[in-house]
Amino acid sequence: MAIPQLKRKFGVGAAGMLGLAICACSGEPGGQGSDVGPVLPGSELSVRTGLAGRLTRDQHAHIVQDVLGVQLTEKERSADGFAVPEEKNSTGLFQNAADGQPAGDDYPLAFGRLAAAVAGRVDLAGLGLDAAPCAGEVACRIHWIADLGQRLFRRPLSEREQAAFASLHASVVAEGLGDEQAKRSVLEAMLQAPPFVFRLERENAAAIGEKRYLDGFELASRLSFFLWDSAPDAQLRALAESNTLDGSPRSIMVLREQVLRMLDDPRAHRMTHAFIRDFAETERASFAGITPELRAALSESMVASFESHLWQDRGQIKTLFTSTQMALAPSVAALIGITPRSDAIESYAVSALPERVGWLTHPGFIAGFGDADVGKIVHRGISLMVKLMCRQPIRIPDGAIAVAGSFNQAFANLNERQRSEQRRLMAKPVAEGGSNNPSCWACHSQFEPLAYGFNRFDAAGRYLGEVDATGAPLPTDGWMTDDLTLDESARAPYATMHEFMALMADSETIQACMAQHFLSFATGRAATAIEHDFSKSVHVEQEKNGGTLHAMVEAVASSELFRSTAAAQIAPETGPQPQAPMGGP
Amino acid sequence: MKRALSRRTLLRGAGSVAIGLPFLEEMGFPTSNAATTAIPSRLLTLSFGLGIPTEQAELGFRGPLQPFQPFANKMAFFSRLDMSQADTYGSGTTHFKTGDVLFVGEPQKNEYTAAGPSLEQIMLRELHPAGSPTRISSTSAGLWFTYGAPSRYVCHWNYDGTPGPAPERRPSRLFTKIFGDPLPAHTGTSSELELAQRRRIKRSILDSVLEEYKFAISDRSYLGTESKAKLEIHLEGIRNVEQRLLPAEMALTPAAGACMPTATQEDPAGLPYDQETPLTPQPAGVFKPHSAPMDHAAYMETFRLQAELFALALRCDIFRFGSLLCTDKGGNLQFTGQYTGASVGTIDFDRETASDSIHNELFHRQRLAQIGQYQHYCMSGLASALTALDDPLFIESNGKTLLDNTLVVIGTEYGLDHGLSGVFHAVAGGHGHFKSGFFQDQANVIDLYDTLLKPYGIRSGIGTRHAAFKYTPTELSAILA
Repeated sequence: MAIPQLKRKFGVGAAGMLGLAICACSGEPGGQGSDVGPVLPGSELSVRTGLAGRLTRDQHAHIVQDVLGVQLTEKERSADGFAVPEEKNSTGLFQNAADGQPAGDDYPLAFGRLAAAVAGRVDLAGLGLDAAPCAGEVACRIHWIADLGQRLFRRPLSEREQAAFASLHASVVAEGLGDEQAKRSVLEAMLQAPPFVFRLERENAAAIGEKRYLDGFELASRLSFFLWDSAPDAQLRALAESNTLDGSPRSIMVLREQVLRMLDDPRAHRMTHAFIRDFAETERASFAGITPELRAALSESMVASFESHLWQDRGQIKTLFTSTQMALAPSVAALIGITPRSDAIESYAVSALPERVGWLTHPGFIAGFGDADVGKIVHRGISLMVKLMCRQPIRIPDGAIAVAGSFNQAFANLNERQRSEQRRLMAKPVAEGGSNNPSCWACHSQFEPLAYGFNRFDAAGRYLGEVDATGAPLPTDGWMTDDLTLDESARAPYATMHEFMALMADSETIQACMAQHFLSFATGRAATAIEHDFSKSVHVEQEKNGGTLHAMVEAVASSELFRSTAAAQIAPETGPQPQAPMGGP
Repeated sequence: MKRALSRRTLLRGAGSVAIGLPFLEEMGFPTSNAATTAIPSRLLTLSFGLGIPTEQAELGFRGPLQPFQPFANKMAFFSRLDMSQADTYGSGTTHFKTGDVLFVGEPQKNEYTAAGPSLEQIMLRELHPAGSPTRISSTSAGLWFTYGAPSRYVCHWNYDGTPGPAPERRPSRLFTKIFGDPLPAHTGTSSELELAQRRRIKRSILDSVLEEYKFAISDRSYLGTESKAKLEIHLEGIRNVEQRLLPAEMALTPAAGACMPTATQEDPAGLPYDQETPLTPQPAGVFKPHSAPMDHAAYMETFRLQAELFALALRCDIFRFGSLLCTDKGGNLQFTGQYTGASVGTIDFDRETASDSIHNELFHRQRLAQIGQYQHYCMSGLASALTALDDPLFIESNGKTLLDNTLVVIGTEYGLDHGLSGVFHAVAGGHGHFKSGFFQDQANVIDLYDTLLKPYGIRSGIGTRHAAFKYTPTELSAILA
C-alpha cells in the first residue's frame, strides 16, 4: 500500500493509534518534548516561551564581521582553547538550538579573549558611527554608545545601559588614555555583555503563558539569525525602529519583502550551509581510510548538492529525494567510482550509477551515519527515523529488557542483518516459524526497514552490490509506514532505492518533518510538539507556493510560531514541596 | 582572613613565564584557611562506568572492591540501590538515561538535560547561597572517550538541569585551571605604571560586564527563570575565569608549605586527549565510537595525577566541590596490556578488546569473571584518589585527613547489563557523619543522596524537581553515625 493510501486510511488519527500499539515505540512527536507551552484561549496552537541562546562560534564570527568589519583569524575561529567552543549538538539536530547548551568556563574565557582582540583591531572610523572625539561632550558619547550598542545588542540600549557604558568610557578617559581607547574599552565590554553573547527576547512582557507578537527588533533578530546567522542590518533595524516591522499580522507584507531581500543576499547561503551541515552530520564520518581532507570534502559536497538543487536550480525540497544530480568533490567522486572532471566540486549525473538517487544516497549523507565498517541497521534506522519522520525512539519497555538481554546472548555471533531477521521471525506466529513474541520487533519494525535499503552502501557510501561477501542476497527491501502497529497491510514496501526515495518524496509525514526541521532551525530551538503542530500548516503553505527553499523560508518566517513568543515563568517556585511518594524501592 | 596584595608584585612561575597578579586594588582570599580555621564542608563525586554486578559487590574485599580495603573503616558500600525511575521517564539507551540520574536522583528531562543539580552543586549552593567561598566554585575532571549525549560523560549538572563543563582530561590543563594561567613574560618595555593602568582598565571593563550580568539575572530583568539560570552559569564562569588569572597567594608564598604546587603538570603519553568530537581524526585502524587502544597503566596514571591535583586544590581550599570521572558512562574503551587484581586474577586487555570495547565484549556478553577483573582495575583508580585525599602528611586542624573531612560519593550509572536495580554506590569520608560497612538493603538512590546531605543541614529537594516524577526520600538511618 502506498503512503498516500495510508493517509486515507489513517489520516491525522494515526497518532491516536499510539495507545493501541503493543508498545509505545516512538516518543512524543517532534522531539524531546521538554517544553510544551500552554494552550491558550483564543489560540489554536501554543508557541514557545523564550530562552536565552548563547551565540554559536559561527554566529559570533559572522556578527563580528558583518557589524564591525573584523575578520577573525583561523586561530580565533577554530583553535581549541582560543575560539568559542563548538556547540556539540546538545539537543535535536541543530547547533544553534538554545536548549541544553553546555556550560563551562571555556565560553566566557573565549568571549573575553576575542572581545579584547576584536576591540583592539577594529577600525573605529570605518564603523560609520559618529567618529568625532567625544571627550567632555556627554551627549556625543551617549549617541556613539547607543548606536554601537543597538547594532551589537540587536535592540536599543536602555538608559541604564547607556549610562553604564558611558561611565566606563569616562573612567578610561580619566586614566588619560583618550577617546579612542575609551571607545575600544566600551566595545570590549559590549562584546562580553549578556545582550551580545546571548540571543535574548523579552520574556515578561505579558501575563505568564500569554502569547504576544515579537516586537520589531526581536523579529528582525530572528530573521537575521535564521537567514544570515548574524545580527540585523541597518535596513532591518530601521524598519524595527519605525514600527514598520514586527510580528503582528499587519506587518506580514513587510516581513515577506524583507525575507525576499535577505534571500537575495549572499549571506543567506550561511543558512543552507549550517542547515545541511547539522542535518547530514557528515563530520561523523568514521570509515576506514577517512582523513580530515576527505571528511571536509564529503561535507562540502553535501552542501554543494543542497545548494545546487535548491538555490541554483530552484528545485523543490521534495525532489531532493529523487534528484539524479549530485555535487561531488574530486575525492568524493572517486570514492563512489566516478572519474572526476576537474579539481573542483562539480555536478555529476548519477542516474547511471546503481541505486544512486536523491540526497540521501549522497556519500556525504551515508558517511554521516558514522558507521565504522559495515552498516549498522539499528543505528542507521534510528537516525533515519529521527531525521526523516521526526520520531524519537523511547525506552525499551519493561517486559522487553530481559528479552533483549537473552536475545543479545543467544545471537551474539550473528551479524546485524541476521539479528534483524531474527527479530522479525520472533514476532511471527508459531505456525509461521516464529515465537509469537513481538516485544522487540514491535519497536524495531518502526526504524529497521528504513535502513534496509541502505544495506547496499557501506560506511563510506560506496555501493556494495546486492549480495554480501558470501554471495547471499542483502536484505535491501523494506517499507515505510505511518502506522505504529504491526499491521503489515499498512506498509508501503520498496525494493529499490528509486522506489524508496519516491515514497519519501510523496510522504506527507516526511515532508512535514522537513518543515519541522526548518521551524526548529529558524527559531533556534530544539523541536518539540509545538514545532510538530506548526509543521503541518507550514508544509502545506510551502507546497502551495512551489515547494522550494524560498517557499519554505517564507512559510516558516510567516508562521505564528516564528513571529510570536509566550511569556515565561519569572520567579522560581518557592522551595521544594513534599509530594506523594512514588511507591518506594 | 583578607590580605591586600601589592600590585607591584610579579612572581615567576615554572620556566620563564610570569604569573600576573590580579587587577584588583585589593584581593580578598578565601576566609577559611584549611590549616588554621574551622573544617569546611566538601563534597567530591567519583564515578565509573558500566556498573558492578551485585554478586561481585557483595564479595566485599574478596572481589573487585579489594582496592578499597585500606579504607574499610572510612567507607560505606551499597550494592542494592535502585534507579528504576531513570527508565520510566528517560529516552534513548540506558547509559543516556541513567548518566544524568547518577548523583542527581530524578529522571532526566532528556538525554541532554538532567532534572536538576548534581550533589556537589546542591551542597555548594545550600551552604553558600551568597556564592562560592573559594576562588573556584567547583571543578570537573576525568577521563572520557565517548561523544554524543552529555549524560554519558558530564558529572556536574546545574540547577536548571543543563550540563556543566565536560570533565577536563588533560592534567596540564587541570593544573592551569586550578593554579592559574601563566602570562607572557614581561618584556620590560612597559613601565610598572603603565602595567598598573592597563590592569585598572581591564578591571573596569570586567566590572562593567559583571554588572550587566547581575542586572540580567536580577528581579529588574525582563528574562524568565530558565534564561536567568543560563546567564547565571555564564556569570559564574566569568568569575571563575577571573579567579583563574589569580594564583593563590597561599600557593606562592614561602610559607605555603603543603599548598605549594609542583612544577607545571605534564600529560602522560598514550591517551587520545583530543578525542573530543567526531571531527577529530582517528589513527589508522581505530574505529569510532571506540577509544583508541590505550595502555591501561598510562590511563590510570593519568587519573591518579588528576586526583592528586584535586587533593592539592582541596588542601589549599581553592575549591571544595568537584567531580572526577574515571571511566565514562557507557563508554566504549579499549585498553592494552595485562592487569592483575589480587582477588580477581588477570585480565588480558589485548585479547579482550582486540576487536571491540570493554563495554561490548564483557558487559553485553555478561562475562562475569572478566567484568570483575575490569572493575577491580577501575576501583584501583578510584582508590588512588582516596589515597591522595587520605595523605597522612597533611592533617587538618581537627586531627583528621582530607578524606575524613570530605564527603566522597562513588557511583556508577547502572547495575548488571543495563539493569536499574542492584546499582552500586559507595561513600567515603564524610566528616564523621556516616558509619562504615556493607549495606545490602534495597533503597532508591534518591534515599541515599538525600540522607548524605542531611547531616550537613541541607534539604536536598531531590524528588521534587521533575515535572512528572515525585518522590519523598526515606532516610537511611542505618548509615548515619
